[in-house]
Amino acid sequence: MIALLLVELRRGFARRVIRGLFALAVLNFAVAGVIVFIVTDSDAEVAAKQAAADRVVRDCLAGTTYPPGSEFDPFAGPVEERFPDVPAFTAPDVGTAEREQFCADRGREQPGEVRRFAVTSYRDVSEALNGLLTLLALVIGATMIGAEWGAKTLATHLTWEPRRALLYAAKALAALLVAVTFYFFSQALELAALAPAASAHGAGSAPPGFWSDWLGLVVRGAGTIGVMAGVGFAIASVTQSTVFALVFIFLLSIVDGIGILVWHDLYRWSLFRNIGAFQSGRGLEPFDFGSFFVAGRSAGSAGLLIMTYALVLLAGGTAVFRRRDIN
Amino acid sequence: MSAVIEVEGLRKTYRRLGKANTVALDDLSFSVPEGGVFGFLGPNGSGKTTTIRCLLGLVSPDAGSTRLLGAAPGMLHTVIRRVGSMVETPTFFPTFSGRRNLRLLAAMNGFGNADVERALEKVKLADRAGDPFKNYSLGMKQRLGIAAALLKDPAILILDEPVNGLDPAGIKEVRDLLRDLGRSGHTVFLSSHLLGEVQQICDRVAILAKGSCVTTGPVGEVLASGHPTATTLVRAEPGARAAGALRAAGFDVVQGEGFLRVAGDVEGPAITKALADEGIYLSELRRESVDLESVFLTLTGEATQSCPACGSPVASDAKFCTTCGAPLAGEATS
Repeated sequence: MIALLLVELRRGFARRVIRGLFALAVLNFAVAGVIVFIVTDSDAEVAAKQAAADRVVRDCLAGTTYPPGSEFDPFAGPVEERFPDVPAFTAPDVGTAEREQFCADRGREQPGEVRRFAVTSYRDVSEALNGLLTLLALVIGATMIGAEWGAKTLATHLTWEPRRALLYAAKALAALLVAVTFYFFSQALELAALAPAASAHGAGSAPPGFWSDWLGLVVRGAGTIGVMAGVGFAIASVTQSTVFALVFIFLLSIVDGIGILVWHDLYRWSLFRNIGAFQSGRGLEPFDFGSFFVAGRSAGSAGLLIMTYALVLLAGGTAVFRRRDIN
Repeated sequence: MSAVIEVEGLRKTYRRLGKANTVALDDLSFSVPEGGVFGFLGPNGSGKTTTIRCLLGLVSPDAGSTRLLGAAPGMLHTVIRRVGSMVETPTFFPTFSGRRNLRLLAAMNGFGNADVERALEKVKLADRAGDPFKNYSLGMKQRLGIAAALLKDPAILILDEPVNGLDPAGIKEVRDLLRDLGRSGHTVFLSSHLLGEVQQICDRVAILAKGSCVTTGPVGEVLASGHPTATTLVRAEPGARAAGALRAAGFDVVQGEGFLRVAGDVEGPAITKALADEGIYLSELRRESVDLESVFLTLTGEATQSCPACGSPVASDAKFCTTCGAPLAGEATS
């Protein structure tokens, strides 16, 4: 089994579509990392912006005022020429508490907003990434076996390993591992791509428990990726085509949405909703359909449910593969 | 001699939605002894490939049993390392090179890169082994398929139309290779349409028609079973007088258009003397050799016309007689 699995992994990682995905991920995160680095402020930029704001407040307290929206533009002409329709503005008297408040507000309204990369953004990015990678996992799982049907290589493989269940298990496990590897690779790239911004343009340290929370998100994400790769693989192994499998899953998602409206209890059993519930770690919220209340589900329970779905589909796929004539 | 392939009462029907069922195999039985080259013949759709698929566990028969090196389909994994096979056109990953495809297959059964290179050398594909499989010609694909089959150094080699798409030099190379394998103690199970090739290299054959085995045995016996009576072709003018002379001399003669066919194991000098005694001189006297193709056509019911020159059975779409080389009606008029 190990030798078979290693062969399938070699085959999987050698495929152009998989290599293309890895290359695309590298390109994507390299560009994203550069953009984030450019649009966030370094310590010097933050200090300059802060100094400008302090100067405005200082000038304001000293008696210089500007109409809202016209402040701080050293190249603009006289205020009266630029804003002829702006009604005369009367600032609070200098030296009063109202004036201090007014000036503090002016200082905050400066256009040079400080943009720092918050460490907590890692979680937001990872969570957004989970959604995208979940869909990609379906494609990876489906294409791993769909391409074999397309190229008709299964007959050749069976003449080298006639134990169909074993061959199927090795191929399914390889599909799952390729998808999970791609997931971890993407998350590692995310860490690496945002690291320059986090270290040079970062603000604040991670709150207590942040990294364990992030790690939990990533581990749950990996679990979901494995499940979805398994689902994609199982369906494509029956439809004998990647495209048919993806169309089937798309239709399934539509039927799932419509089905919940007709049969509200389906909400608790929906594959797609439970994936979201498990991945976010927040579980499935109870839902009130007005006349019908559906109980929620914990994240752990949602995870078990989607794993059961994947295992049932893979068992079905194995049964079909064992009985099917391979031409 | 023990049997390496045993097929007993094999039956397979393909069922397709909205279409009529196709009976591919109908109570097929035969066995292949160890060693030598075994030819597996039959017209298109006679069930050759389905039989091979059943043997390799790719297709489940509706009834009957198969054994490959003594293993039933459920136990094929115990013998698969000793079985090399190629079913129809070889299928590999199109974007992988021939070498990578073979290396991946080899790794499945614990064979190494050196084994791959040896197999590639054997089929003369080493130079192009780095090219993507999708860029290969049909002949190169066949070579790669044969290389994959040879990779295991198998006790039995099952090849389905292995010379399809090969050029004449390639056909000869494969023929020599298979003959050598057969002589060196391997068993080669060869399915082919090229009856001339089969006759040259096979020790035994089985002929299929409509999913059943119509005959099987050593090539010599099969040839004899197709034409149990030897014949001699005679050309002499005038034909009617010559036929009368031979009949008078006691020969069993059938007169054709421009030829006479003398049935039985007769001596050439006796025919010459009988005609010469009547003042008739021969223009041709030839012992007719029975080839596998005519036997095949006769047994499978594929022969739908006779050669007007020599009377041999020939296929309906043949342009020349395979026995005497005479052009057939369709060709002569075109």
